[in-house]
Amino acid sequence: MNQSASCILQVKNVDVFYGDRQALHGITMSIPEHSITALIGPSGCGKSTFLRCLNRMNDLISGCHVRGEILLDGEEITETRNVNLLRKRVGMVFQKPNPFDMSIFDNVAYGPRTAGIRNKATLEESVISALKQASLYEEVKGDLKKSALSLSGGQQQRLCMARALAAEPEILLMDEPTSALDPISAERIEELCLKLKENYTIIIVTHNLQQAIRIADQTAFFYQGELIEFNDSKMLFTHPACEKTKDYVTGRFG
Amino acid sequence: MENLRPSVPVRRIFKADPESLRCRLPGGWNTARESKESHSSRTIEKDRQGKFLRVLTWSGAGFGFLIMASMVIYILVTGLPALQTSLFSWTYTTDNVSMMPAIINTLITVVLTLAVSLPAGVGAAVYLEEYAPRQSRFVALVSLTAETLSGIPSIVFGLFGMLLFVYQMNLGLSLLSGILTLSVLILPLILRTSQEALRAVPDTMREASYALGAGRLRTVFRVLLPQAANGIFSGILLASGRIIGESAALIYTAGTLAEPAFNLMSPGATLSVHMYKLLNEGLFMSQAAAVSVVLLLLCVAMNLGQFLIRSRMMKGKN
Repeated sequence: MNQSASCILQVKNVDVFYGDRQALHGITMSIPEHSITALIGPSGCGKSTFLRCLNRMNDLISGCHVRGEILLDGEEITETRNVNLLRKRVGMVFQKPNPFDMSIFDNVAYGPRTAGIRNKATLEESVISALKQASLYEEVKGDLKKSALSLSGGQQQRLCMARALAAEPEILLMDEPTSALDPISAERIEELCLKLKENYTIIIVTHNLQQAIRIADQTAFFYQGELIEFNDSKMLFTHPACEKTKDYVTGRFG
Repeated sequence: MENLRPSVPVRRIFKADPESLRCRLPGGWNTARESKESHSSRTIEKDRQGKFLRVLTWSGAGFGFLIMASMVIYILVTGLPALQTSLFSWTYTTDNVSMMPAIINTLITVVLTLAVSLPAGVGAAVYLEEYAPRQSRFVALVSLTAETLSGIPSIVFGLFGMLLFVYQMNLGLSLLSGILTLSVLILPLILRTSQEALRAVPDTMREASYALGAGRLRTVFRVLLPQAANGIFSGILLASGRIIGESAALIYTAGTLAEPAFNLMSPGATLSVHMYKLLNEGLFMSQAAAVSVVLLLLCVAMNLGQFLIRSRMMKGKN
């Protein structure tokens, strides 16, 4: 792994518990800025749980608690009071497209409005810029007042990305963003990720190993709540250091 | 099209040489035919059941429609002839039992009762669904109380209102006492329908909002309540229906005086109470029927109004 790149996110010894059950065991990793990091592993291995630690979405689950240190730009986030500010800095795109039952404009403007922006011109500017970044603008520019629910599944997911981007995050978390989409839409999302990594740090959970190979600079392999291996994607997929990783990436289990 | 058909039917080919087919298909001819037969017999049986069910549902729907239609027709036939303009004069006299004061009181009561109950009910629902810890004992207790209250006969609320508002709080026999009593009466209804409506909003919406850095309050007002609005609206409609139709809870709290209670501290009868009084006196049966027509029209108008508001909201979205 390229250690020289500056790391925006440092995770040290993170344990997560759901009630009595421990879901993550001592995860330690550093995520470099302006890159794509893929989290892979079989279902239930804790990769989504890990992802949700990074913007503290786990707070919403009763009985879940997190132990350890997570530093965003050197700043501890598990203790920080203002969780809303953290979530503004660390955006998230979910597995299923989940646009609000509002117009396209209002969906994308939700983040900026939450941040207190009221000026109409400023709002419009950031909405259009976000839609352009998510490569959706050309398709919807005719009618931004149209209901977001009238869009296709792939468009809805790109709208959700635009909505996340409009909040101007530093990190974008993506929880299997293409698993509910058709191959063409999935490909567009992948292209988008490659384009976006110039300005954002992307962490993506995926079940699709090919996807990780195609887009991720580095890949982390989780198994039964532990981080087994974390390396450059090329290295991890061609010369895995651990036997378990090798078995997984060659499809011997999964 | 005809030319495309094989000259010998497929089935006859099979029948001609079942032995060769058995060789070719691993399952064999017999098993294939058997499964096909059992399948077809099952389909026929299903069809019979389907026909029976269809007749049953049709007659159920027809019976229901017949009852409602005959009621509406009866009300219109008996009430419409009695519906004279003199019944809408501004003042009530013993000769002309005008229902205008009652109409005014009804409208005041509906608006003010909702004004009291709606914020309280929706607010409580928001607290119970969004703020209180799920599966907390307090939530269960409140839900149980609301459920119990919605099953209690309204005359009990009338008694409660009389003891608390009329005597204890010294509001006297007044429209205000009636409004407060009705507010208590419909609170469980508003609470429960609002709770259901909030529960019907998928959790993915909450997650989406929180993930964008929105707090709980913003999530409630910008995402959850707008999406639950439809359900809350039907709760309002149900509640309005109950307010308009209520008489037992009002007789001993708001009284039966046929005068518009612009001053809330004075007593005033709503339409239902007015009708109760006319029936009770037994002298103005046809006028009472006319009141029922007005009540019917009021309900239709309310439904229509709600429908218009709803479709307008939908239009705003699209």
